[in-house]
Amino acid sequence: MPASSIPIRPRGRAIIALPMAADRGRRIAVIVLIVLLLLPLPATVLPGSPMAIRIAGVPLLWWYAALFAPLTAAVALLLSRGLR
Amino acid sequence: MTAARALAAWPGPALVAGIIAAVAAGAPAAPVLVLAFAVTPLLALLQPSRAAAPSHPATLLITAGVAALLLWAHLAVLADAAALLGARRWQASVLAAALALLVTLRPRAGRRRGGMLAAGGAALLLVLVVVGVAGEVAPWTAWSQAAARPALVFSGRSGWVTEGERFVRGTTLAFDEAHRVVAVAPGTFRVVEQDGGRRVVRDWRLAAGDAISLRPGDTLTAAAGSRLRFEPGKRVPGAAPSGAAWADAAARAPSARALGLLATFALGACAVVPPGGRRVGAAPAVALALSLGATSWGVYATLAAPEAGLAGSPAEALLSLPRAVAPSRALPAGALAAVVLLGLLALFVAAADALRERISGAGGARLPIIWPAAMAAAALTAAVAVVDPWTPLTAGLGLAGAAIAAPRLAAGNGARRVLGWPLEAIGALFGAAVYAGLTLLSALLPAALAPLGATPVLAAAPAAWTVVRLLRTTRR
Repeated sequence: MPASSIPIRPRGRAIIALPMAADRGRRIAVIVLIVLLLLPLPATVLPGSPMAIRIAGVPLLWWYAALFAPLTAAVALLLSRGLR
Repeated sequence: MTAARALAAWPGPALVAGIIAAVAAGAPAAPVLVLAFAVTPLLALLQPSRAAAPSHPATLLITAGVAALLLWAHLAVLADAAALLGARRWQASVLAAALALLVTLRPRAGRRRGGMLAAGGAALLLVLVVVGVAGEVAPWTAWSQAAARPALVFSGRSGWVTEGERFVRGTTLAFDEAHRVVAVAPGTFRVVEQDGGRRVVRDWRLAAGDAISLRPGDTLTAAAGSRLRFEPGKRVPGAAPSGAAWADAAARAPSARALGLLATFALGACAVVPPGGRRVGAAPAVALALSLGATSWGVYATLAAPEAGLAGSPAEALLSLPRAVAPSRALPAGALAAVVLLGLLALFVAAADALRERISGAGGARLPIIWPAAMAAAALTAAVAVVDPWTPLTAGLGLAGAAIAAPRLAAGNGARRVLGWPLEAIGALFGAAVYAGLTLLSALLPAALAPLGATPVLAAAPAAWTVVRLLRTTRR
């Protein structure tokens, strides 16, 4: 085997899986958004219709769909970029 | 790419009008639609960035087909709006398509896309704020007032009462109480009467000014283009029977239908909205503007004009708000309607440019004729076929989800080929074939599989994904 001309200095190195670390925030945000999208499906068939409870005259389901879920999704998106 | 440019393909006129019309009509799926409208584009921005997929004629053809379907839906809404304002459908369709081609074929068109999206959204939000301020009522108060109405009735100021309005599409209206309707223009109308359990069908040819008296339980079928005038204070046929029924309709949404809509929107968004990269600055604001704006518009429309769905077009719900504001010296009649139209046009051009970029990315850059051909086909179809814009919109999003998003998510970053074909192209063909097959055979499916016929993406997307994953595994 020919001798290598590249100098190799065996020193200790910390191994960090950079692609995985960078992807972590994105994956968490994806899960949060999918949960936000699917949450109303079982909630509308729960006994007692909790999503029909009115707050300021508007059903909880509408507060969730128009304000809470989009706001949470937006925060999750911003945080996913912050976790990178 | 900035988030605004990435999101430009999403809030086109058809989607905006469709969501607002669903809220205004009290559709059972309305909350799910609003939720999907706002959240799924953010989900699409979170897709993993990947190298450009290998181009193939099959993926190019499917991408062009998806773009043509979505453009058709958007142009149909603009054509409907023109028809409601007294113009010809083809004029709006051809002019909007020509403008979009003019803008999108210019060099560096993509840089102006974010600005077009912002201008269109700002125009619509401006109208919403003006209506809210003029009526001195907050959206949640408007909701309470609309929900407290004992019945949704024609107001004395409604265009359907004063001068009569035009039906954009052929419509069948069911009457719950006695009603005398007057033909504003000559036309033929079919009345189905329930006479002691017996069904009696009568066709009436009416001249301008002739009237028909309808009894509870009767239905009236009006052809597209016919004009009628209704009585003030009478229930709006086809609308929710009361404010409470309108407000509570959302609690009755079938889960299968809601799941199908969520899958169509989520996968469709992943196909037409590219990954966002690191810059997501405007995305949260866009999501909130979409959800709050569409919901507020629909609620105001219900309060001001409960008959906003009568003409058979979602554009009527959009145009009902400007008409509900009394004209003044500072705000002449028609000014707000013009702002709405300009806003829709800006959203259309932004969406069109984003779709052009998707075609270009699928290999259309080497075949520059594909983009103008897709636009021309869409403009022609929108001008000729009087189809509900929701049909080509959901078909386009569903096909995109099954034949573009699902194979791409399954293929990952690899550029593997099988028998010389990229994996994505095989998945795209398979997904498109399953989608088309289920759509065509939906009437023949057994009751248990009916949801798959209504939203074929529920079966087509998993099928395409599975095929690509299997081929990817076997090649290793």
